[in-house]
Amino acid sequence: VNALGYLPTYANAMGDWAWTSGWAFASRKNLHAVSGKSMGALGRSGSDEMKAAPVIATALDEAERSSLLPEDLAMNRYAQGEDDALEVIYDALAPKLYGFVMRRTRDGAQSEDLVQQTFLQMHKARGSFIEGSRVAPWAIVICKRLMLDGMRKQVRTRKHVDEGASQEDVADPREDAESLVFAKQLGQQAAKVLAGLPENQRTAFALIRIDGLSVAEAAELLGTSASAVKLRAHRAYVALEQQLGAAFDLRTATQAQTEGGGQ
Amino acid sequence: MSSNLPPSLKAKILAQAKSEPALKRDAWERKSSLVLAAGMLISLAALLALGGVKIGARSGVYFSLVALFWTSLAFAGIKFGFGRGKSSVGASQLRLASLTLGLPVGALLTVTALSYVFPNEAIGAPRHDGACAVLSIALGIAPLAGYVLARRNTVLVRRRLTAASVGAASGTLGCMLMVLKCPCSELAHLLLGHVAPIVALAVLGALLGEKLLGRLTTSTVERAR
Repeated sequence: VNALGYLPTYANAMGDWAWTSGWAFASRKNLHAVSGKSMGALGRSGSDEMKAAPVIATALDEAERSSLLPEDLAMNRYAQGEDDALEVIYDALAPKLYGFVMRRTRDGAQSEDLVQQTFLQMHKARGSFIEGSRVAPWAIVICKRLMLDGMRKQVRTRKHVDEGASQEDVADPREDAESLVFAKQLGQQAAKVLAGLPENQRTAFALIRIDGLSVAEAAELLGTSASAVKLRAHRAYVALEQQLGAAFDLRTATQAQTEGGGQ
Repeated sequence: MSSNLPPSLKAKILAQAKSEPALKRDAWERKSSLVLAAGMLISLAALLALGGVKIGARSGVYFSLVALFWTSLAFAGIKFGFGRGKSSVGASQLRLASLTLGLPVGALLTVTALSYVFPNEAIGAPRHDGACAVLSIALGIAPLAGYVLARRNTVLVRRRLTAASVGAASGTLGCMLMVLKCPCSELAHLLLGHVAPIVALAVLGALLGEKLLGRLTTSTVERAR
């Protein structure tokens, strides 16, 4: 996890994630539905899902492996010398990369800069891209490497970034302050839960849920099978659900109390 | 967050990419293969400079088996250690760890088994443990350096383990060459002079891997800033 640079930014990232994925608004009962494509969407109890997970994972495995995304194919063409393919790659990856950096640096200008550097590095190293492999994990590793290099340079020159102040926080037009606070608290709590999980579960979860990689992309990045990644992410998800369930229950109870008092 | 990306960024990146020369895959692979081959050829040339292959007092059957087993090991090391696999971010942890551990263990089993089957081969030949170990490492350094040169600027996730496995593969190649030259067949000598260097180069790779394979050429990047 440290190698992928997640640990220091979990609280922020999880806060954002909790907000955008709707966790902050979800009750414990419909968490599975909110989680979308996760195995939790089966709507079973946690222990049933744990048992079912490998079977489902295996069934989905082959289909995911064999299906390369348009950006993967475009990168392959780009590596072969088709320059126009870079546009397709940019359209598919730039938002992903920007989100990846933004969640860690919370600095728009720096994130743009890193996205630019990443694409130029990908261009420079395009000949080394292996045919049939996925471009997103490759791009993310380049981006992460450049980001860490930049951070090291910043530390060296003693330019400390104020982690507390972020442009997003100031300019965020979120209206529901209470839900925002709850999302942040939830994010911090989720970060704590994730920090207590085994590294492989934490990394798999973060890559899929926070960074938006597909299971196949995360599997390639982690050097393991898609089913293993799914299982790890699922275990992390179940742990989160169990740990954060109390927070949801408390919020639901408080909301009910407030609404009851108001009436 | 994606909507925050300015439209000018795309145009800027596309323009910079057009103005910056970058090798296409076939050219990159050609260059990379040449560098890797050069590393191995340097080792081979060094062996020839040291006097080449010497059968010495070893029997023909024993020497043939030694050559066969060690060449197979070295070939496996080159194929799986120097090969790139299917992912642009490097081979899986399992594959790298298997290679890093498998090569020295394979070498250990080979020399032990052959010493057990041919107990009389160990008699008479002069024994220079230190010299053989140093020369084996020296012969393994060139392929390792070749790999680092060929693969710099590729993006690997498990750099330490990758370098360790390549170190083991290079060490196996170096040891294979030295085994063909050194006529001493004592088990202790084989372990110290011809198996330990594999471990030494794997450890060296693990220690330096992060630095050696972690460097990205930043000329483009710096200019972009």
